[in-house]
Amino acid sequence: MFEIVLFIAVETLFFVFIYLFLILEKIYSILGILGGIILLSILINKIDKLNSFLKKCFSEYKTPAILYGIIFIIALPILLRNYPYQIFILFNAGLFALLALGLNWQIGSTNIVNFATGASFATGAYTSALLAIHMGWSFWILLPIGGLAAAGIGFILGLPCMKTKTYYLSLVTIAFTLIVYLLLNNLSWTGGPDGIADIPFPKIGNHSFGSPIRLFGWEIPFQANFYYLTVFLIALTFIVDRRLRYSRIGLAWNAIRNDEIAAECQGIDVTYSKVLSFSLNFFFDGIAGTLFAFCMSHISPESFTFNVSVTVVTIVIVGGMDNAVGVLFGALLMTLIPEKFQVFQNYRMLIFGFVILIMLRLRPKGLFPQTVRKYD
Amino acid sequence: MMENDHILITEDLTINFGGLRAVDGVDFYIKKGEVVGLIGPNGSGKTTFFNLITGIYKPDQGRILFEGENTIGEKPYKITRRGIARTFQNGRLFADISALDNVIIGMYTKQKTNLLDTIFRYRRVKTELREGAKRAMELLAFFSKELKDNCLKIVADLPHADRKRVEICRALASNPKLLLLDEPTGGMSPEETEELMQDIRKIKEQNKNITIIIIEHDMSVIERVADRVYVFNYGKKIADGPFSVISKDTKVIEAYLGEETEDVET
Repeated sequence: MFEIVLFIAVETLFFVFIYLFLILEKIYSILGILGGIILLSILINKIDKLNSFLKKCFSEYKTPAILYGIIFIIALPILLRNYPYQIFILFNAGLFALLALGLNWQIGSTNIVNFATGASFATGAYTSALLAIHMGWSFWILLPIGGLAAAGIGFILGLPCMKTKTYYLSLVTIAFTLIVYLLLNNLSWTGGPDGIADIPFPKIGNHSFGSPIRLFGWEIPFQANFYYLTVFLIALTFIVDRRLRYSRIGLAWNAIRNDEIAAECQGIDVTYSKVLSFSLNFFFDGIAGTLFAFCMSHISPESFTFNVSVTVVTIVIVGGMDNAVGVLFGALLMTLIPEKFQVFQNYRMLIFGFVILIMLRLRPKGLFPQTVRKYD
Repeated sequence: MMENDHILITEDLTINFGGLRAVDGVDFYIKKGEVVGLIGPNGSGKTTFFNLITGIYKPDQGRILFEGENTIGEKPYKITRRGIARTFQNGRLFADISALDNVIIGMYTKQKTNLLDTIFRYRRVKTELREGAKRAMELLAFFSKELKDNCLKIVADLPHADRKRVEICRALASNPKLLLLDEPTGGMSPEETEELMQDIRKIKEQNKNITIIIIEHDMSVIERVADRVYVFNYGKKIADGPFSVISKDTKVIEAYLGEETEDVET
């Protein structure tokens, strides 16, 4: 009994931290909370007894822990009902989590350092935005179509990429992101630098995603619609991730990560496996892109720069290679913290560079390293 | 020389690396169920011969017939799917995942599920993996009880001898018709070598149909395991036959003792 109480207390503390961190504005209070989190994690790391106790609790009360987490995630927009921008930030974090979960199949599982996320994200967003405006298609049809369009691009990009390895492969993907960005800027039918405006809000029945949710007399800002949709999609991606990991596909990816020749000698079609990881990654990027386009209702090439790719790569490296939970934490860290330090906006890339350096030096496998598969 | 029970035949197999003729006009055959030893000084082209059979290198001339079909030009994964499995001289395990995962990956050719099964009909994948894990455990237990208990350890954390065993398990997992072992006892202590030899014999006893080609430097191993022996030197086959005959062949003795090349141990 004592255990579970303490355990709930720890989790609650964590949630309170997130909540406070989101709503506080003054940089000092944010710094204070950040310091608190760091201090706490150091404490947990240093005191072995506490550490092993928490680990034991987490494995014993896994289901209640996850349930509590889910309740918090659902309740968060209600708690934040007076802070629409904060809900938007969370939506943004969710988008990056989606992108990073997909990229994890490349960097984490297969060791393909892919910098083309910006391009795939853009493909999804522009495809569905254009189809919505010119053809009047509904968001719910465009969600998979945006994904499929991006997956097609991923397939086409994947094939020439297979001729290259390691750094050269990364260079090809960087070039691809830049090409897509330039195309979007210079083509007339994509709207050039102005992009595409007036993308209609999605609808469920009579409820438009552009209007607030009314619940028990509370009015939750319209951003919450997109927040909940993103959470739902992340949950789906989580399931897909787990299934892929525990399948011959995920095992083959891990084999390729370690040794391509040995993988091929196990009967694995390396080219197929790699192109598959490209296409799947791009598919989920495309879905995220569609979501982004419909939430913003206006997109321009500036949202799909190389910076997006770098951010997502950073998330995977910081969060944890080949570990979906880690990637989720990474996405929260790498989107919420820069958001709160708008003062340092100009140094964002510099800070990311530092973070990657420090992480690779101290925890090369990320905050949450990959776990060993168990089969029972 | 095409005969039905010859599972693998090579004719005039040759490959050049720049000016070096690594494998030079090798004629080779192996019958179904046979164990053939491949010996020769370092750099005599034994491993290159394996790489040619498994499709990692493409020969400049000659033929490779596996079960009567030409395999030249096929990608390694296709050749593996025909039923050829191998181990590597320096060990090429998938180092950052568990021993169990490694052996399950060895079953890749036997597994049937695809992407759609994985995402929409996961139950099939689950049963397939569970069966795979069960069989992998049996394979590991076949080599040693301890290895089975350590099967969830990351491969990089296992001792050298165990890694060699895991690699053989991974190769066996695909139920190969032809098994290529490249110095399986390399770096093992005499006791471990002895144990592994017994294991190889046990594999043979359990599965009479399996055909094995084994590269080995330890002559006592070759003497006891191999039905026939091929001797390579400078990429050429210089002799073949049962060990008792080979060991008295003057060319072979010359290759091993008459020249300085033997000092180039690595």
